[in-house]
Amino acid sequence: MEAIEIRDLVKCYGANVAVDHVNMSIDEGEIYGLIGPNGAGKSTIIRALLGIMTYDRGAVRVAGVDLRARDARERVRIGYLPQQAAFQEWRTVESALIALGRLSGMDGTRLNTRIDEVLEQLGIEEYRKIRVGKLSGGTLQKLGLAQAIVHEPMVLIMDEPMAALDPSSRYQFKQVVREMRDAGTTVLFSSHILTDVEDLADKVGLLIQGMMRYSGPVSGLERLATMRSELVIELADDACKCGSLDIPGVDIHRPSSRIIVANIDDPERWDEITPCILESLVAAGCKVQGMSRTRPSLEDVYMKAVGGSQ
Amino acid sequence: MLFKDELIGFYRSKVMIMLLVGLPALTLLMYYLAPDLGDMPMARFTAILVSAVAALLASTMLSVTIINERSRGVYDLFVIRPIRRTDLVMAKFLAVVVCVLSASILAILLGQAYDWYSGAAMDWAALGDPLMITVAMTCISCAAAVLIGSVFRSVLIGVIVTVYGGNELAAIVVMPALTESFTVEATLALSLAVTAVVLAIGAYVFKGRVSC
Repeated sequence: MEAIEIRDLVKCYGANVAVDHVNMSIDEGEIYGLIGPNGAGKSTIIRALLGIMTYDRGAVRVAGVDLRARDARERVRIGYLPQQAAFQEWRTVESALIALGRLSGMDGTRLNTRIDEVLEQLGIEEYRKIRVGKLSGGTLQKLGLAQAIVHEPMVLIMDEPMAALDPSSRYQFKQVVREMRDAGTTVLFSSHILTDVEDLADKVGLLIQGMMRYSGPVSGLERLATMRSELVIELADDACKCGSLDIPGVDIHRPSSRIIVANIDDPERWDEITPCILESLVAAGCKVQGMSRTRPSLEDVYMKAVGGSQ
Repeated sequence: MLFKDELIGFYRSKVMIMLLVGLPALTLLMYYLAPDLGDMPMARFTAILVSAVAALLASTMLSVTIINERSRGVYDLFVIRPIRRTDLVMAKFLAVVVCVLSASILAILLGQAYDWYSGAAMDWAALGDPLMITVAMTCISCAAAVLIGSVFRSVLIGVIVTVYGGNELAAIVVMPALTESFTVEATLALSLAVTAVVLAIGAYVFKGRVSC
């Protein structure tokens, strides 16, 4: 079942179209990463989803419910972590979680237990009695995640959640998000840190100038950017003569005497072309010791897709 | 729950600490420095002074808080939860009014204690009118502060408009009581009606502005 569904979403700021007929769907228990350059419309989509921003056209549903509806928030538990979580500065970490937990409908022992759990999960138990105004940026962002998950949301939405975190905090953050997913929570997050998206997301959406250029598995982005795949072949000796190899759609070069690199134009033809290359090499008297495939990283694909559009 | 929460927040704020300590201290200082007070008891002087200061402090504190919290995105974490946006400002309004009126009453009681200690005449009845004026002015100013805090994004502009707009509005409404054209009770009733209207407009604007 679809946990998040966006159909034909349009949001304009005057003459500027921030979100242009965007369609997107996320299944229950999936982690979805939203990527795109600054001003692509990521935050606008997130705020429209949360029902805290009006939009001009389209339909947005979370667990089948339009969050702008009167009783929507009683029916759908949502966790939200903004880019910079802000709290009333007089609150302590604990009082912030108690207040927001209670407002989410939790109370008593269950809430206290959950607060203990999330503080431990995020490694911020020692800050329990500390005032929010005295926390560092990273700890504040962890508190932001704590308030977003304390009420065990059905859907967790995060806007650039890891931008201000150091590597170990990012690792911890990702662990918590994975645990949430494993517990059945659907996660949508936007990020500029493409390695995080690659690590976490089951599916990815690429937004460029308000339009959804791609939505699907991370591996599918390669097709969009038509990037080449690379086959690196390691030879057992220097005796191989492969100068005469000529396979359509494949560029072969030899950076060293024992290494051959084959660039395959169409990654879809990988399974068909690789045996051809190996057969040709064996026929040419080459002794193949090993081989590996190098895929373009998400960053490579992103840069090609975004660069090409601008 | 929101009201209790906001009450704790304002009660613990530095402004409240200054108010609880500063208001009696200021009154005491003014009492000794002001010439020609004649036999006016300390408590009555305090009640008059408090009626002038309390509304100004309460409304400025409220508008600054709303502008700050709105611009920092504090309300984003509230509005995604099952609560009405208008409840957020209503709770804040009530909390500030209660806190400031409590501080005012405390200052007046300290004035009475001073009068009792110094052997001056203690006149409880004379405190009623200034206290009602304080309630009236505080309510109107705070309602205006909710509207101002919801409209403006700059703290500086918010403070200026609160001081010169909100408090002037409050002063205009209570003026008939000061000139004895109206009874204080009638003025209080009129003030509460004006408060309800301004607060409703403020809450409506807040609902539309927050997070959009």
